[in-house]
Amino acid sequence: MRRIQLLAALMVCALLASACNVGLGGDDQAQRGLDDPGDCIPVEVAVSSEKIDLITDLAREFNGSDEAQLDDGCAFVRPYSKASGLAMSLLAEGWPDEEREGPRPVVWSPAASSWGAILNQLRADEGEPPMAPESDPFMLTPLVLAMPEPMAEALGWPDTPIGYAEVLELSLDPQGWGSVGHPEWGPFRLGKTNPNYSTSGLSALIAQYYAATGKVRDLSTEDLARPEVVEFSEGVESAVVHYGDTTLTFLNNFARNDARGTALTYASAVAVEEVSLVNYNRGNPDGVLEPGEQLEPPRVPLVAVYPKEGTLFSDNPFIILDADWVSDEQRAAAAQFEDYVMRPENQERVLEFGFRPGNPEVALGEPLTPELGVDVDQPQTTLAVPDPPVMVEVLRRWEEQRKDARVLLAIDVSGSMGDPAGTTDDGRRVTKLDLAVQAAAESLAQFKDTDEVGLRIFSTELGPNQDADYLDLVPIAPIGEQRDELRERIESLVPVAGTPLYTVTRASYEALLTDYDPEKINAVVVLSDGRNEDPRNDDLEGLLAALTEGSEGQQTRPVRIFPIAYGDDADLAVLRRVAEATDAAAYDSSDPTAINRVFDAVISNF
Amino acid sequence: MVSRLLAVLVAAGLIVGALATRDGMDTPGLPGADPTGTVVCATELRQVCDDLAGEDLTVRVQDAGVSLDELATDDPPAVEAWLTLRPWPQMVRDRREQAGLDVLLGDDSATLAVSPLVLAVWDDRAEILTGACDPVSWRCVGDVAGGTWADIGGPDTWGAVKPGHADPARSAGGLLALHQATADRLGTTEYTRRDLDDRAFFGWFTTLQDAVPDFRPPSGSPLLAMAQVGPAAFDVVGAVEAEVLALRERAAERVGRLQVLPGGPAVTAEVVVVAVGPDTRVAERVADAAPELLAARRWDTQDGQTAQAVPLPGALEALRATWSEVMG
Repeated sequence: MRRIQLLAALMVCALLASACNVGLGGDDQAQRGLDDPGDCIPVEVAVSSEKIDLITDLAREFNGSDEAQLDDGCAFVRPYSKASGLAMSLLAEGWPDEEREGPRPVVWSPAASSWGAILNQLRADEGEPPMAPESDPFMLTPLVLAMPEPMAEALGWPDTPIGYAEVLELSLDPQGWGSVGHPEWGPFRLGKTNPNYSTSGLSALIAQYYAATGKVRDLSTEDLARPEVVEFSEGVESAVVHYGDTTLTFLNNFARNDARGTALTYASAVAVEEVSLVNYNRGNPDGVLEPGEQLEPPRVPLVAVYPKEGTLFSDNPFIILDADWVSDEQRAAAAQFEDYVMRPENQERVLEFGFRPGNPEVALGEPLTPELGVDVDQPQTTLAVPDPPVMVEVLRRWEEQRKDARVLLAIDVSGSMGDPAGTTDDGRRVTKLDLAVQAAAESLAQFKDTDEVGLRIFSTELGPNQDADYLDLVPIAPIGEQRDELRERIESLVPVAGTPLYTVTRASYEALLTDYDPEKINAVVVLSDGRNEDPRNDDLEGLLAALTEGSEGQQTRPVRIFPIAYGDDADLAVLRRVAEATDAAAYDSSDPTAINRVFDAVISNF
Repeated sequence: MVSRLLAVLVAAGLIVGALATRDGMDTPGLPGADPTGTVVCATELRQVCDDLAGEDLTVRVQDAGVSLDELATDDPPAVEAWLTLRPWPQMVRDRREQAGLDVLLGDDSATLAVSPLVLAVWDDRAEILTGACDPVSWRCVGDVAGGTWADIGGPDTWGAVKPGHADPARSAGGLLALHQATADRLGTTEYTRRDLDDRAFFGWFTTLQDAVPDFRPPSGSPLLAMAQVGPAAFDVVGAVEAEVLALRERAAERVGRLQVLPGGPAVTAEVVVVAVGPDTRVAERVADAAPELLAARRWDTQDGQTAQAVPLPGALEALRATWSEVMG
């Protein structure tokens, strides 16, 4: 039974991870000019998203070079992006669907080797030999708490060690930053991703539990159950702004607030990898530099606080898989590419991207400098990755201890939601609303019983007199008491008329603000497939001004709006501005069939 | 004119024939060619073995513990030679004898190179350790293990004292490092199982092992982890001196701050090669080629090396058992 629970939990974790980063596979390779290996031996390389650009660059240089020549042929490396958790679950299943998920990899490079350990554990549970042998890391980056420099200095940085204990102390202090002489910064606000989706989030959670126990290794399930550990963890979680699927949401919001001069009231610290902090301070928060994009370093830089209790490294192993689909020729070709990647000149490239090179022959230097918030003499302690059963318990405990949410689901039931969106496997036609209803209903399972959730629909011509722009079908209340009712009401939705987007957005925002609960994440999820079609209210700027005003200042009561742009006709640009005005994130589901995973990603914020 | 042409053609034929004959002598399998086959190398000798590898010599690098388990069975792998550290070949012979298996390994070669076991310590940590217990050795490290650097006058930011060594169940160097630690604590290199069971020693040993971070180092090498991650991985590591010196050379910027300290009583890593099976030609070829390569990797290959500080196989087997007991 325990094994089944372990498997189930890990598979859920891995499958959730898929939501934030689907595989690209063949199409992606074609776009990158890596689709045709000619007569060479193809080496498919599945890598986590943060290093796809780096590995693609190296593969392009490697392919066709003398270094790619083998005794009897040549190697041709084809990288593609695959989220670590998703790749792990696919490998555990034998990578069943190449059409959908991309080709079976010869090499797998997840963000951290702990994913390989979990894979081997899953296979061992099934009586299968390990597939991920111990492998050398080719680049590393530690998890840090990224803090605006003035805030870190207020805590004594860089001379005074800072860790989760200080985070807890500030989080629980009613005076917040006022306790260290800065009441203008308001309460301590922590940014942390959802550990079911994000390697950073999982690492931060593990570090948090270690800090609560005072240990640096051998974290146990018994430790997690100790009352003082539970109290510590709940205290840290109480400071969370919101969760989410990617640290980019936090960094992009930081950047936008920095431009407005409000960075210090958005968040006090965010758990991210060191490489992300370096990119932020370079003026490239998302780590991707588009052609013509200018770097704009922030006015208030972030500095890396290496938690005094210790931290974890994302070690990016280069794993040549012991899988039955990997031939000896591919293995040799992959080893040749690994040698190439580990060469000092290529490890210099790793450094340029902001990672710490795995080859120690390359010195740590630019851009890992104090000017960009980094101290290469830190961290001082590495935490051990817990055994898989402990990691499962860590995730289970987090579900109990994470900050409660108070969420209004606002779903567009305008006429266009009745447009066809495809057919099911058994040939039945489905509308956009059908798919959205299914996704929304399934997402309810992700809320814990104490989360408060309500349902609002919006369209013109609603209500008995057909003059309302929205209707509250289920009031906001603990979902444990009304999960079935919510599901039933969602499943009975039908399309009606136009889209009063601005009106319902503002009204929903104000509804949450009226009953604002500082102990919870207060948020609105707006799913819309169209543009504002309400002649009575087309005041976008007024809406944005109201939202922005409510989101700024040290005493702000933040209500986050997470819009989902659903279908081709959705107004993604406007929805993105709405999200940004509340320091949240917009989600793109222009492909209606992707609504399930998009909904999962949205709900990961709570 | 015709005779001149004939003479040139004959001369050319002779040259071609001579070249063909020489090529034949270099071709594996032909008389006079170098013997071909597979050499298994202990992980500590990876760099040397990478240099040994060629078209006609296949090299496989793996931990000595893995080789021990493979070679002590009735179905050993098809390899021709094993380049490793003493006394691992004798441990294989002992196990095979105890299991009633045929003799598989030839005799140890002469010692190809030696290197002492040492402690590699970050210089700032060494300074604090010296203040806590002089001389700095494994006994000292074990005494402060379990505490923090602040306990012995270091800064808070360094956290817990983090000693390390490679996995002694797998690594030849790791087991030798553990042997040196044990010998330093017991005051003798000739300890017995009874000594290991002594309550005071067992407590000290357990505390030391509890303080070793459960950080899974790449390729089982805590030394490499020090270079990759810095003091976050380990503060002080027991290793073969040649490995430390070679790493300091190639990664000066990252590990230039590593100091090399004696660690305890003299314990020596001795490189030998043994034939696996009756054909000794590959082992002999390795014995000829390895010393020069070892010297280039900071191993001491001076003539006249004699085995002085290599522990007995039985002692190491007992130590492995104790370590396994402590680690659960």
